[in-house]
Amino acid sequence: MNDPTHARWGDWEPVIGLEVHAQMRTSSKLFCGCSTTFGAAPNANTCPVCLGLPGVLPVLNGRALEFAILTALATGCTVAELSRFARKNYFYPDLPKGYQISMYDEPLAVGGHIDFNSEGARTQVRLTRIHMEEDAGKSIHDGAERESLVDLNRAGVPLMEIVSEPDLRTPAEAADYLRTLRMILQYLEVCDGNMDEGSLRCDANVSVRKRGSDTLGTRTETKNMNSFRSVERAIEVEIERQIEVLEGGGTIRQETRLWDADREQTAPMRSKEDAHDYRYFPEPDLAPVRVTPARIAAIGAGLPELPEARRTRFETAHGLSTYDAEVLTTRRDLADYFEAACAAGGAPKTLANWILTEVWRIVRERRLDDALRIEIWPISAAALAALVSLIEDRTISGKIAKTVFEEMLTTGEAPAAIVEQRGLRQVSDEGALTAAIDAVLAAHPDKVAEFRAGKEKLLGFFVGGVMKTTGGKGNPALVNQILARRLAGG
Amino acid sequence: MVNDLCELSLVAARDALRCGEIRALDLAESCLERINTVEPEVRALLTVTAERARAEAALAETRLAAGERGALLGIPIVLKDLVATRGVRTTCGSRILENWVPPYDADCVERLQQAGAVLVGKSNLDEFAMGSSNENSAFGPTHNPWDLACVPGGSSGGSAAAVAARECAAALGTDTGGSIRLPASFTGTCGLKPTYGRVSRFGLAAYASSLDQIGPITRSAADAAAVLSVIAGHDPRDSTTSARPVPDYEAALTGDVRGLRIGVPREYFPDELNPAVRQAVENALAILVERGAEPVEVSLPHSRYAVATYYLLAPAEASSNLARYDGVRFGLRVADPHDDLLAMYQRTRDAGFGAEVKRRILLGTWALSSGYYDAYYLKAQRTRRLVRQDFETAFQSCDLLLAPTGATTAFQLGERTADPLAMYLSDVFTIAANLAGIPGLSVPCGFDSKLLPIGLQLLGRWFDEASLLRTADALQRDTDWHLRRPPLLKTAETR
Amino acid sequence: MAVTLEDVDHVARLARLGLADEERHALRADLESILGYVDLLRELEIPGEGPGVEGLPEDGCRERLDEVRQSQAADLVLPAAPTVDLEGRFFRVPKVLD
Repeated sequence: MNDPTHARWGDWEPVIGLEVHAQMRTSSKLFCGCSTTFGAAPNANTCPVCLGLPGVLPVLNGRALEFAILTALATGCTVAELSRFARKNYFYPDLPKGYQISMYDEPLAVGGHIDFNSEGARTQVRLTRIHMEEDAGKSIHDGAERESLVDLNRAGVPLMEIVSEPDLRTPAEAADYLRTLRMILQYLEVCDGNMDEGSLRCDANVSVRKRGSDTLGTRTETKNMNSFRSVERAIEVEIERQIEVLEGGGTIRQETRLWDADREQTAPMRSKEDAHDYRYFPEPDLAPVRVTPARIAAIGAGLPELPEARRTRFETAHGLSTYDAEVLTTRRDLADYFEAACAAGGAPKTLANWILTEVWRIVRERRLDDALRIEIWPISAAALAALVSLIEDRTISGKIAKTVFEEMLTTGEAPAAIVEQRGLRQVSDEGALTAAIDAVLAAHPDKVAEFRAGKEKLLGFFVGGVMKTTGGKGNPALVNQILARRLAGG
Repeated sequence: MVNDLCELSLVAARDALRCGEIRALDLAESCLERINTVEPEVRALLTVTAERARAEAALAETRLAAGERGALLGIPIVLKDLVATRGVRTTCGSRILENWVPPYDADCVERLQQAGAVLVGKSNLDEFAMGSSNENSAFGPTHNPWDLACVPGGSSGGSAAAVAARECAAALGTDTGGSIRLPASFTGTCGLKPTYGRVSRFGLAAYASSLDQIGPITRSAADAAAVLSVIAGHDPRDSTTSARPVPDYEAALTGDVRGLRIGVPREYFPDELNPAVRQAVENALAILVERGAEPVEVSLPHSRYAVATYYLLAPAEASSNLARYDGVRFGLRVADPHDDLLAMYQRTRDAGFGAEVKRRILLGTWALSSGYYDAYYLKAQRTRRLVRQDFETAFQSCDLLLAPTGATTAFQLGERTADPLAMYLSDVFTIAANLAGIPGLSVPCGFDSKLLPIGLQLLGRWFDEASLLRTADALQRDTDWHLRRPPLLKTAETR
Repeated sequence: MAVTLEDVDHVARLARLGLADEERHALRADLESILGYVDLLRELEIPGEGPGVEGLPEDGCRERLDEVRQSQAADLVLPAAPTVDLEGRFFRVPKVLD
């Protein structure tokens, strides 16, 4: 295929790598027992350890380690048998100890890759490393005030940092990589992937070079993008800025820049001016992390089926279209729901239609999609399967099914019960339908004449009339069939 | 009421309390009385917790009356003010924490309370344990009860002086490069630095995390064994503590050192060693040999690098550990109304830290900074490994090592303050044990011509505190150096 | 090892230490003397293995279970903090950049 970057950036080639910070879905923080719940009162989720008080010590959350290992295994990384926490030293009010416990030259895992489709092509991004670290708190800057407020609820929440090689070439490719990575993290249930709330954050390392060159240009690191759209746009803007600087004869400074979504521009981050000397050294309060091959194998045994494999299986085992299979497998909860409904006896194709339209609409409306938990969805997979079965065995029409679906949402009743109570069972009795049709035709002799004179679009008018008199319960196929016969004079 | 119960050793007091011979309240009062008498001159304590001591003593009496046998029921103790005490100001000897009241107890404090100990005060120290003389306290130096013109050693000088002056039966100190053993040596007390990982550091304000250990300072090895039995053990809040079972250290005090191979490292007896110190240490060895121990000559070839290694690693860790004192969440903040964040940080830390702390923060920042890391920090880590391997090798041919604790006896106040390097070299014989993580103990073994105590140092295998205590106890069965009382106490009593 | 005043200023800034002018001079001399002493380590040739901290448990980093233990520490720490907001829920600091 032709290279889409050619048209946009002339003989400049962008080189992009992403550093993704994913908050792990543990109950407690990385080094203390404080809750990781989002949205608590300021500083409510803190203790002496995450407040950085004198004399307290970090103790590693074993589940966080296992989540990080699981992610490493799912992305083809090699998990180090010995890795080490290190201190990254810098002063900032939201960093209580004056250092962040992170990993440096002995990370947890190295050398994986993520494969994905982007702009019609199959693409691979190599992963440099995955490591664990603690999140910082939040500083709140109140416009006019001369002071900032510090909330340390987030301080110490476990993060995975997933660093890619600079293998990405376009902003869209970067966004697609990030979507794929998020999908994997959600499948593994190690991160909820919520960019609004900051549980998935992304810094972009961007440089440009002359096409054909194999040396890298000076890169900048852009932060503060909190949506896929921002990631894509910020990279785009930064590429354009760098090209403009270079073409104007200037040079690029290696620096950290902040994305301003309102102004759609990046600007240097002043507070990071002396950030180049973090004085990393091995964390003396924590022994090195040793992971035995047996433990790695045990964690690997818990790897779920990943989206790619699942999509292929949905196509072959359930006969879904590539499109439906792809959309259903973008999320593990969605795919799980589909499979649960299939197992409960629904027809796969019909189920897929219903899930991707009605069910998903409701889940989104009610904002249940962040939880990644199908148990809290308003219609259970079994209930949906029952509804679809009613359509399949022609007890109700697809149209009536929507009424039943709404009723299920409000009352929580089983679909069969709703059909019986409200008398929604489809009328497939030919005699009754013929009588209803004849009555409609008799009431509109003029329209019948027009139809017979060739105005065939009036068929809809008659169908509507019949449905009205049957209360919508007429078997649509049968109604059409009989109507056609009667109008033809039969 | 004046009594001299404070003169009782820990073990003697415990026995007397258990059999109802004395009352815990009287013992506590006696210590408080002694504190009142000697503190104006000794200045061992930063905080006296008289009310708490009385309440805890009363509680101990109730527990004793109920037949409880808590290991330290009713025993008056002092804690180095680097150890967090819930509800009791914990200064770390620094202006930056002058009014800090921790919302938690250190693990060792919880254990002491459970065992029934009675807290009488928090002791003076070199600011954040950085020093060898106690002259680096923001609240003025502690004086050596043996000679008020002399330093008590540091950094646990307040704890050692309090024990020497009988202000308490036992104290806890901390030892990062000799901070328990050197003061013990200078004050004629027994100080034990346990194996790294034997005692929880939870609640101990960190100086150098990979070297810090809490340990007892007492009047005898037997007393130290009693305290160590209480404070040692695994703590889930300190992941560097060992899960090894804690032996009964008092049961190890058999007096039997027959067949014990005592290594004498030649590097610890240099030609320039103070003759009185050499004489006393050799004399102590002779006594142990008489009891059946076997002297073995050993070598620790990397000893000469220990001080340099320490003064890179400890400041490096300290520069990071002390970054949390930033005026944001607790402790001192100094700022002008128009200060930006940087100015607030700089002003707070300039006003809050003393000269030695600043010196070590700068030194440590230097050792870690870009361009110097490999030559300093990394090189020091590798040297540390060699120092440890020296001990591994030595312990193949001996069971413990015997050496002087300090190269000299207590020096004069002000004598070494002008030259930081000279002060650092005070720790020349103690630092290696911290680098290797092995236990070390100092017991009195004589006096010099100025009647200042001399300390004997015993160094043991990892987690073999029992051998150190048994050997020191054996020595104390044949000698009375540990029973001698500072002249100050005689004048105090006749007043 | 020669230490300049600029060196002192650089590390002092990294460590957020404000220093009076005499202090800078004194510390420069101290650092020079101490770093001169530690140069002793240069005479050692040590085959390079990776970095690490000696003395920590050999059997690896101990872990804890992922269990929430709510702490009330903030209720004690916030009222005693150098400054807090009006409701007493946030730590207050001079405005931070960015």
